[in-house]
Amino acid sequence: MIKTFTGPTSVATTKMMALRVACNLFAHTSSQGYIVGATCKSAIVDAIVAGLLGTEANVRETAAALAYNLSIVLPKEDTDATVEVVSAVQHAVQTETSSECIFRLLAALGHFAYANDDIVALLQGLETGLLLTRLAQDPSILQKTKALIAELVQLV
Amino acid sequence: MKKKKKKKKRGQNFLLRPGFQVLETKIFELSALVKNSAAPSHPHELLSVPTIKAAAPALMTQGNPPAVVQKLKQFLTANGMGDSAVVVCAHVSPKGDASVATDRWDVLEKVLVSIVQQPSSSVMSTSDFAIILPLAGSLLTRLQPEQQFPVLDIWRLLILDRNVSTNLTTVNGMPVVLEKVFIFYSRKK
Repeated sequence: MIKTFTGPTSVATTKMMALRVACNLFAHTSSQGYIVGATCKSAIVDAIVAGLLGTEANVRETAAALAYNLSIVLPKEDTDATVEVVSAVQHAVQTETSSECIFRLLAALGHFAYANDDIVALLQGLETGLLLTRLAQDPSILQKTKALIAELVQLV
Repeated sequence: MKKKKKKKKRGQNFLLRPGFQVLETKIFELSALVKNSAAPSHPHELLSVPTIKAAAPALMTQGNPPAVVQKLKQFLTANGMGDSAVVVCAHVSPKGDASVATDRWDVLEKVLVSIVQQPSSSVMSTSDFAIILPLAGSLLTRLQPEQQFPVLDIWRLLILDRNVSTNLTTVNGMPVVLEKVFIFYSRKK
């Protein structure tokens, strides 16, 4: 379903709404279990990657929220899915302009990196430290985001 | 001699008291905490990262159900689907009984209002579920992907209900419903 609605022929509002449905699948543990199952997880990962590359700000914001939700429930052992999403999120942070979206993306990175040496190594390889330093100095960054950056710096 | 016996009794009773079990659990938790602080399973566990440790999912709970349902009805009519209520509920009332169909729209609207008021709780009854799941599922399979916006808006709210979530994922096999939808569109592709 998610793959269908995030395809190139879908209109932006429908794509956004499909991602919002996916976000709400994380409301309860029963559906969270379904999400981390093989079928749904790959569709969610594809939706996040496609959504973060979207040209519409509201689609990117919802995709960032979806990445954050996935970072909460995805088992640390699931390296392939984690690496794919972390790479997409890291790339999105570099180009994103929406303050709220940046906060969600960084929160997702924090969850993925926490107590996960593989992801910390990946983020170090992607020079996330430099990115965080640049963001911390950006006057347009929200105060809550700066606090989050300070936490992330400790991890990476 | 009597005093000695009493002391022994007190000691035995203390171990049997319900409070002792609570105390025992607390001591176990504290020792685990001390042990983890001394040798954490990962160095990150010693860091102060409250925002990262907070793990509440971001949910999209806002909505105006009467407007959402109305928008969907108008959308169906505008897209040449005739009397939308009857068309959509054809599986429930094959002869096209408009009153039956209208009742189902009313149930859907009422349930959506309750969900918006109490997101992440359990507001939908089994009888409501029996009406709404076929209706919402029928809409998903009848419309083209680019027409799905108002239907998805309804699903966005429905999925917030704990009963819906549980039913969809376990009792009625929601994975099957979602996969059916996915397969339906995949075939079209």
